[in-house]
Amino acid sequence: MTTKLTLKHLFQLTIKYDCFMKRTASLLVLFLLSTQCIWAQQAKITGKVLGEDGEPLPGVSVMIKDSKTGTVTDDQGNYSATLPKLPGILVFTSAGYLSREVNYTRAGNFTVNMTKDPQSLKDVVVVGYGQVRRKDLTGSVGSINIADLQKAPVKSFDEALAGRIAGVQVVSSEGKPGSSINVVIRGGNSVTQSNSPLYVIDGFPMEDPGSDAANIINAIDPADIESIDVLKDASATAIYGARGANGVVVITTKRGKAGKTAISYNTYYGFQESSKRLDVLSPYEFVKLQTEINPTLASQMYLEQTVNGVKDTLPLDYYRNKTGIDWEDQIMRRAPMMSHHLSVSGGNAKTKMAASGSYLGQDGIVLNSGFRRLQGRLSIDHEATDKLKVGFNVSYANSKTWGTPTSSSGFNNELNLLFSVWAYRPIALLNSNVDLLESPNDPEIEPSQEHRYNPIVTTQNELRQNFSENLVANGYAEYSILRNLKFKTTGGYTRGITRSDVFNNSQTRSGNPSTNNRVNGGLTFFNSSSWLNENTLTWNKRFNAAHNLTVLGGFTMQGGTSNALGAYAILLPSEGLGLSGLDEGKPLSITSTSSEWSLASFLARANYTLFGKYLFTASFRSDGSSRFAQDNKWGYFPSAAFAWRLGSEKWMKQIKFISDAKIRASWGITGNNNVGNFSYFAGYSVPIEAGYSWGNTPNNGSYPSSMGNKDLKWERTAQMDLGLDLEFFNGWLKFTADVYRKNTSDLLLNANLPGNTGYSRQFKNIGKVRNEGLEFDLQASIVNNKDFRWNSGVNISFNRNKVLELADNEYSMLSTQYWGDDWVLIPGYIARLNEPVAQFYGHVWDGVYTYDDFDKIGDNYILKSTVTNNGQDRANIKPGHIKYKDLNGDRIIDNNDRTVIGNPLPIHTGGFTNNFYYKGFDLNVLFQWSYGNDIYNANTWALGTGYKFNTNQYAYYADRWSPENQDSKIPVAKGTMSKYYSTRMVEDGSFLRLKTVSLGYNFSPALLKKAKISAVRVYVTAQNLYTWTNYSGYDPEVSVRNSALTPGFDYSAYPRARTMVFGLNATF
Amino acid sequence: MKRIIYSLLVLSAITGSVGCKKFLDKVPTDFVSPENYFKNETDVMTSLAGVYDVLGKTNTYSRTLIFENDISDEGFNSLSSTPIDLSFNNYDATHVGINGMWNLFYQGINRANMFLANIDKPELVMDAAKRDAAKGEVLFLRGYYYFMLASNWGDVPLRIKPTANASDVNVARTPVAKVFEQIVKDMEEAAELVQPSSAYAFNSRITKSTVWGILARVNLKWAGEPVKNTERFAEARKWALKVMEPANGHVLNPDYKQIFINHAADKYDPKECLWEVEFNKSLTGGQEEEGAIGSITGIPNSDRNFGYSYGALHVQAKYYNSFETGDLRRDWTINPFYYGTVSGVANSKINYSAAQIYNRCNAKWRREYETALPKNVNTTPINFPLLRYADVLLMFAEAENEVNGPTADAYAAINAVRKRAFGLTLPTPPDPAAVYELTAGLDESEFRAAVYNERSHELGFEALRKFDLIRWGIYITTMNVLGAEVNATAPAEWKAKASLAGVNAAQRHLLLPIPSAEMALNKAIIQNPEW
Repeated sequence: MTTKLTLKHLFQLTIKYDCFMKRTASLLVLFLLSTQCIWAQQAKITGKVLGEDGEPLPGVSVMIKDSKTGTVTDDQGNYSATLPKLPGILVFTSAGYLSREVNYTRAGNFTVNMTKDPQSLKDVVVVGYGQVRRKDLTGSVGSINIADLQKAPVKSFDEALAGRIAGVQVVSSEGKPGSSINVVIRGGNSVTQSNSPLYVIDGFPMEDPGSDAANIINAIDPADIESIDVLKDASATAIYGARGANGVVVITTKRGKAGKTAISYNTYYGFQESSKRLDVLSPYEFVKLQTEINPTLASQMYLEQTVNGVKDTLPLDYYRNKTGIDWEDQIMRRAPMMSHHLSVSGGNAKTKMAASGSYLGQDGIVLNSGFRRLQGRLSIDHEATDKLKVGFNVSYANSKTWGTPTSSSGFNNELNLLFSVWAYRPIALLNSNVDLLESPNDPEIEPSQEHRYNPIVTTQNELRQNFSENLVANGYAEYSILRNLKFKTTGGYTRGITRSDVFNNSQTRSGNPSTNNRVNGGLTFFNSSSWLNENTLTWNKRFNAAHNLTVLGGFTMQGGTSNALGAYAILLPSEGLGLSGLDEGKPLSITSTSSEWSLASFLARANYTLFGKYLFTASFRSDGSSRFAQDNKWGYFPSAAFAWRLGSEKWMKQIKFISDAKIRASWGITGNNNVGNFSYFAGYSVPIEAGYSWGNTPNNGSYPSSMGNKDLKWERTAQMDLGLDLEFFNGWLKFTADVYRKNTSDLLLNANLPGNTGYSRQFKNIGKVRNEGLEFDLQASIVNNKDFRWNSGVNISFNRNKVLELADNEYSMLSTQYWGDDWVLIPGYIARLNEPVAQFYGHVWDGVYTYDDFDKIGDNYILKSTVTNNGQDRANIKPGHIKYKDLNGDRIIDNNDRTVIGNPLPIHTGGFTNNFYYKGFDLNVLFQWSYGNDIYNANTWALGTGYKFNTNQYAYYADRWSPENQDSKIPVAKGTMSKYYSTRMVEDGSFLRLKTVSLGYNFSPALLKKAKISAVRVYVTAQNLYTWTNYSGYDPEVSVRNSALTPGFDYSAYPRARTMVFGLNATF
Repeated sequence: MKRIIYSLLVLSAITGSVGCKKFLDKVPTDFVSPENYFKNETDVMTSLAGVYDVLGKTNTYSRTLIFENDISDEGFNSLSSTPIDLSFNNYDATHVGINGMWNLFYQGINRANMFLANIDKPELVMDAAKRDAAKGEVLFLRGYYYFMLASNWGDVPLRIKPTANASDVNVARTPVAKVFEQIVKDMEEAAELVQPSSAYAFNSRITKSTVWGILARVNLKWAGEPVKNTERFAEARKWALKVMEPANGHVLNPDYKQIFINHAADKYDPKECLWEVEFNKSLTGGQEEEGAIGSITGIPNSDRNFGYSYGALHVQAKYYNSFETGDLRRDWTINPFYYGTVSGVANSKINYSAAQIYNRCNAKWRREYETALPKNVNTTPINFPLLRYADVLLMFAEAENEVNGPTADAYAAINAVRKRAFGLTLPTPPDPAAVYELTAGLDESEFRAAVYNERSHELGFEALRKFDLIRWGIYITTMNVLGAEVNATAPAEWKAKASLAGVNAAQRHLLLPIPSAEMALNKAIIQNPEW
């Protein structure tokens, strides 16, 4: 599906190209003819070209239409041209602006206003410690089209990042508002550590921006963002040294511009709903299944009744037309979402300011969950003297995330919310007067066997909420020491506080009267703060026309502290008081932790341009970190890059259809210091659970909790990149391609240790991983008429990941997913040499045993000795039980029959954007895809094996094998006893998603002028509108309990909402 | 202005080069490093508690060792809905309990090794006697953890120094006889250092009596399967005899059932119970300090105020029927009644019919006797006996018989135990005329068989039966015979669960498999045969 679309698009482009060639040819003929003519009447036209804010635009190309003659505007935006005849047309073009054609009927002085092209890639990209014109870039940097991104109705930009930049893979773990989003640039380097890129927000590098205490990403309203640039290759990232290995996302927020004060108000309101339901067995099928699992008990519970003292057994058909409770309908809801954003910006030549405030409220589609945020920001830039510029920005956000997690319960997978929803009985007992919907627990299930708690009641009553406050303040001073020597110093401070509340009242699973703890609750405060000081000197010199040199040098210091403090109490007597009554209960635990870190760095970079077409960049950074022992504190990170602007070569200029071309090559080393602040220290802990009592007196106990590792050092990534930028037909088509290879060595691995050491894990530097890939990006302005414009962009990336070396010369490393105590030791993932770092590992499912596999002896079916078992005792295997492939031919299924059964990493991912403008209408359509990745659908195990009495299953389980349904491959109830990962759980996770569709209407300026309004756009936007996929679960973009070693796992994941909003943008 | 900037630049360059070293030195704010530890008595005692801590975990004596890993011919697991478990002799190296036990014992050993590496530091300020006692206890516990490893896995990696670094992971297995040498060496050294039993009014700390008694047990194991170094019987006899010296003051509690009531009521009887795992009331109901004795086992009851119990460990009819008439231990070890409502009175005791044997449970520890409130659902503060004086007497009888034959001393020891069993030590015996003495004139092998039976009756469900059957070399035959017998005679509803462990028992079940996690990460280790 996905490849077809791409090809189709390319096909269209080819047609377009053909047309263009024909058109060019005919124009050429026309031109040759026209030169023969005598000029009828010449006219001199002069004037000024102004941008949107009224500022003069230099460098604008002014061409006489249908000729090769023209000029460019000067520094003050002035132009002067002579039209061969009147009326005549001048064509104004400038990168980043919509081109304009102006018809002149007389000579004279005319001012021309140009508007920015919202679709064009920005001319300037923000790189570390500076800005570069895109055409001068030597590294690989992707820029987000921010206008497009802002059309998506999302709370934070990371939710809308997917599919927009080649090489940036975004997978959100599940659909819960505020759930973690994994952004991985050019494949994961690290094995056990985070692969999250470094976020640099307004110059402030943020480590772990999604942390408990300060989730800075959630604190930024997407509408406040001016630009997002993604630094991908080492030439771009090495200036961030020890933290650049996973790529860098540079976010710049909006600042004031000189000119008229602009006030704008953006708002939208809409609804979200779950777009897919996973049906479970009907009451009839449910009872039928119970009679197969436990005939005696099922009959007693569901079929036998005593009427007037006479015992009567009903037929199963009694349930044929009964309807049960649809628990999924009970837990899901249509949830509103709204946003208000107000901003003011303006200033004069010396002082500029911008301020904004916003509110966003988003309820979750699962009961009692959601997100809301209030935030505001203010920035001021001021030119104190000709030489000194100062400025600051400060932002504050207050957010709340709430709701019971649906997939995080580890020790018992039956406690996960959506499992409980699907598996809860649809009906009560025969003639029972129990209302299952209202009853907090299931009174008809033997409590000593199991505690079944009503998932709806518990969800409505559980309090799980996080309140966060984030404060970010940055300031800078820039001083021109000499004409070409600039000193800049910046300082910043961020502070985050999160209060995490948990309260379980008497109507919840963990607080109801049958529990030990009864009503219980607690709260924990997480605090973190960090500060930054950066000092740079920039020297720029042009030696005659041929040489241009820019040198940057700097010294930075950064540090941070964090701590957590919390209390938990149980047996709270007054549940009405909520957490305020915590002091009345019995204290259970106190949380108190603290930590700190520091980083000092020296950095340098030189950019040298020769003849304006040979570009050289070299950078060097050394970082010293408190996270490593004395001898390993400092790391050194060099990079070098070269770019050749082929487009400026004379011979290239002769190739008419190529308007610009550049090739790039870069190499560099970056690092990753993503370990705990004190991981290298050995330590003794005194945790509460290590105590022991003597003579009824409890004593604290201590033990060595970590053996430490003084040899711990940076993880190093060496990356090579080759890139090609091409522009055809004056920017009508832009193409970028990159090929890269990253080798990561000294992997920081939180290695598992064998039990004999007495420890479970320890950080080590081991092994090597390679990522290599290809990225393509194509942008085209397919139609560019006055009334109708159509821009299109497609990007696709291929990344291949492989393990080159593992710890202690291992050939493979197994990893487990902790989704239940019984699965904690069963590895479902493998990392093998020369293969991807994570692959699914398990048995090959081979349908079910049929009668042919057995000898019938009396009434018993005895498995033939020539038939392989399924991991179970042969005597217990019956027809319809699950069957696995015997890979080593020993007729015994055991761990030796495991193999690689799936690849969680996609072959390619990408996005396809289209923007249409017709008169006042605009339409934005974004497709996003992922191809070739598999998903472990663990729900199949829990809801497709009939493993347990009184536990409902997915509707498809009705089609299981039975003597009457012998063609089925689905095992009978209790026919899947061995806990094995198998191909039965593996599904194709490829998908193509119609991610964003936004239709807007812009009122005509003439109409608005009377109302003193500059612009009004009304729109309707749909997010996650439709997904084409073969995946049977809620959503193929899923990875609960995500880590580099265990991706692509789905169990009880929160579904992804389909959102539809109506909105208004107004500028005054 | 320029001047300020230049000075700033110079300043930052200086702080950069000079101040950086200090700036980048951050020390942990949340835990102490071993170098700063073991400075005073508090550090030592806290660390000592950490070594003991291992005894009371879910995968040690709180549950696995007393339940899933002690399934023998006395009882069976009635709880599990799937027939795959350690308790059914149907498991593999990924079993959570097996991994848990292995990891916990080695954690205990590493804690002990760290303790022993630091306890003799000159800067430690502590009373010498207390320091010696603590050191002795840790030596003993290290030996005991190795004893548990050697008993369950055979050859095991032997570490007597703290694990050095993260690469120090590949350790080969040391032959089990060598492991026993180390255990005995540690314990004999410990015996000199620890306090006598009389030093404490409780029995959860290691005393000389504990060490001697466990030394008897270790030597009996060494003398039995799989090493069969029969010279060790004399050692076992020697150490048992040492405990029996009158000066140590150990006597049997006159009332058998009171031993277990005491466990529930948080009372100590160090004369009878030489060593217990202590579980204490904890608010959380988690298994930090409480255990599962009486709740995973015990008599089923869903009234949490009376005492919630799953009653998961049911009894084999064979065991029930093996008690002699008049042996009071039967109806304490196995409940003759269940709890029900009679005339509106909840938790009344209703007797089972004579045919209902498999319905009954391991009832030694009964939650109705708990005094610490509130009672939690899944966990209890009931202590578990690791060494009783009755065990010492029976170990002496067994060793004496192996060394000197069925002497009068051997008879005296076994009869002391039997006397109480028949209630003749009670103030008012139920049958004063009961014949409690073991038949006189037994030959060596008859006497041996009598000891085997006596141990089962006296020490049933005390985490010793499977251990005993294996060291006597009769585990597989006993279990296979039992499985067949259950299949032939048990009522349909109990047949499957009661017979499984017996039917499945095979040669490989004499030793546990090396846990899968250890196999994957320790390159020098090899798996036990047939696993």
